[in-house]
Amino acid sequence: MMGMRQIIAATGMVALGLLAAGCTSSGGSAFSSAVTGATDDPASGFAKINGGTEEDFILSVGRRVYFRSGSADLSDVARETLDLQATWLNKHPRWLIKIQGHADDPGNRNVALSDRRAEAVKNYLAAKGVNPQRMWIQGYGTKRKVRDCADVSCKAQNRRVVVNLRTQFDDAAPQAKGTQG
Amino acid sequence: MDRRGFLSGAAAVTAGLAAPFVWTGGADAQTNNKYFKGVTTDNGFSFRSTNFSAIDPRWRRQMVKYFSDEPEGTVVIDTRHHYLYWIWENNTALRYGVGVGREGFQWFGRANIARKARWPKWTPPAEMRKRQPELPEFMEGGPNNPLGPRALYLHSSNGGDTGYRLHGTTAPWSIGTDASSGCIRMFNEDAIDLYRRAPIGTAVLVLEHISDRA
Repeated sequence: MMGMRQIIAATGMVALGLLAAGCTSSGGSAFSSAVTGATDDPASGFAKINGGTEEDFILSVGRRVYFRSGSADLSDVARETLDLQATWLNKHPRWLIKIQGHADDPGNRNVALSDRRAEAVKNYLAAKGVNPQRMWIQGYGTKRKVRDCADVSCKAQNRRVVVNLRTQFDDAAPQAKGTQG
Repeated sequence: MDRRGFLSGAAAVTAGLAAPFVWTGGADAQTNNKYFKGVTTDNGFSFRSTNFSAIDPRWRRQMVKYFSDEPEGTVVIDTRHHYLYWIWENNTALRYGVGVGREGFQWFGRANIARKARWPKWTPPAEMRKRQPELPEFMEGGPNNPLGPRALYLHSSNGGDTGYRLHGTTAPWSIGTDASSGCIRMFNEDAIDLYRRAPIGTAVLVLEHISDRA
């Protein structure tokens, strides 16, 4: 029979597995939440939040900024969120930052547009003092839609950049190349 | 906060505006000082910050589980239970406590956030002025304006203005109650938060209550 310690260890491994899956899921989420419990229960990891954690970043700052149709320009509302992000990221230098661009715009240049959106966010955060060596971008084009319909209620959600906190560089990061393999 | 701290806070607010308290919310505010603590400066205005230690924790902004067929990126309002949910991935939602319309002034249905404003102006509807003759015809944006620091304007799918808004408040004690004329009130801090998180075009669904609960 499994001892308590092994159960905890096993649970930990499952949680890590979920977390890894979450990183590559369509939502691009780095946090996971088991589909148990009921509406209004605290979300996993959010019952008690410590400063400097991913949960703290999500709740008190927010990971997403949005863009106008066909544009990679940062709106004043986006800048409001990015200013908060820069302050938080400068205070918590242990995090690496993957900046994920998305698009769902007219025309067939959505990948390029999603790249430009991510780049705009990276440049803005760098201008606010976030070390560029901590950051890298990846544009996903239309591959990871939040919701899929022709209506503005869908398009508006998809024209976004998500700032993800990471502990390691991934394959999209130029920083990782030359140090691995 | 001690008395002196409060007085200096109030003075700072008063210094930031020319108009006296003309709105009844202002008179209430004088007798509900415990709901305020300190001052927040925002886009050229100052307002009295909400004292969240005087607020029931369930009305505070928090991440909760949320099970629903409604897609991610939708704002859902549970009128009866005074919650606004901004639905995220993995069956989660960011939940805010809200104040809603009193009986006879409630509104249900689907809408979109068509416009957003910082420190919105307010033109009370004619029917509302009939009920409350003390209301001005028009109010500039500012800390005494009952819309608070932000307003998100709800239009229906055919593009028409529903007349309803999500907005801040001068009366934080009314969050969690049925007090408004149909608008959805939020703590000022939360109105500022949702304003920057929810893009124009965001779908809004106002329900009597979510299906999990009766």
